[in-house]
Amino acid sequence: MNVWLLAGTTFLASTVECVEAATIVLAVSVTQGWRTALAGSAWALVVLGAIVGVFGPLLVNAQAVHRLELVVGPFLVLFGMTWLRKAVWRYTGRKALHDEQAAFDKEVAKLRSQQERRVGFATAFQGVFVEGLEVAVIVVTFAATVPHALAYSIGGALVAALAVFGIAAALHAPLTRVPENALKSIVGVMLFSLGVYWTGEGLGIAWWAGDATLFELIACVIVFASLLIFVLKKASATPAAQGEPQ
Amino acid sequence: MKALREIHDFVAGSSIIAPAGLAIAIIAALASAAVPPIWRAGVFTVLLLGTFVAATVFEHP
Repeated sequence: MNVWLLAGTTFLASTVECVEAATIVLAVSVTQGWRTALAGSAWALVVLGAIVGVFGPLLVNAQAVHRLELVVGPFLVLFGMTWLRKAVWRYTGRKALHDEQAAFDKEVAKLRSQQERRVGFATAFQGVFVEGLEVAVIVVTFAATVPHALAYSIGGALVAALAVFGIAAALHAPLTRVPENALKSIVGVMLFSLGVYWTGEGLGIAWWAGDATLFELIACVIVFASLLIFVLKKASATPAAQGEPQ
Repeated sequence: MKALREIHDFVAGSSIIAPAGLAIAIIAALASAAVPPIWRAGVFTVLLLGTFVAATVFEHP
């Protein structure tokens, strides 16, 4: 298994989640100052670091890799399916695209109505923790299943976090130009494909091309998702779907 | 409480399709075990891809 593939997946997943977390942290900093925003974020990162620090090595040192694949695989199928179908819905107009500016404005308005410091702290903590938890789970599951992947997974996530928060701090504005849906699609494809592959491995299924099957699974998932986007777009564009007389 | 609710929603996938997807994954595993080994990987993959398609088409966000 190519560890750079895993590092790339955690980098992209982390980029998406960090953009959303940065919006919340920025909203707290605008309304209650950087100190509150950074304190809430720092505590969330400590808790997330503890989760990765405790469960990562525990799982990495576990002996029965096949059993781990049976736990990790369905998790990734679930995550990947959730990310990918939301991306498909957004491409086809079934679900609104995520608007960082709107999310930022809403958070600022909410915080201005409650000026207590603990509310700002809790908001920053919650934003970083909830958005970071998914990345932490992905990092731990990758590390558990592939030897020597822990450093690469953490590295991918950290580089994304530093880049996104660095840019957000420099601009002092939500990152509205990041193509979130495209990134979510790529991460969804990767997680779903890895989930199918590892669940199969855990069940003792012999893949037709060994490790290289993963790339064929990725291609299959891309084709299915593209077909779905095409068909659902076409269905929603027909007069009957729009409620117009034929 | 709100944070706990958000974490719960995140874990639960906030829909019945997500746990159903996992249930179908288990059914896919059992079904693929019933076919000859040479077909097993293909049947397993097709059933999981079918689950993804069904979860995307039939559930409304």
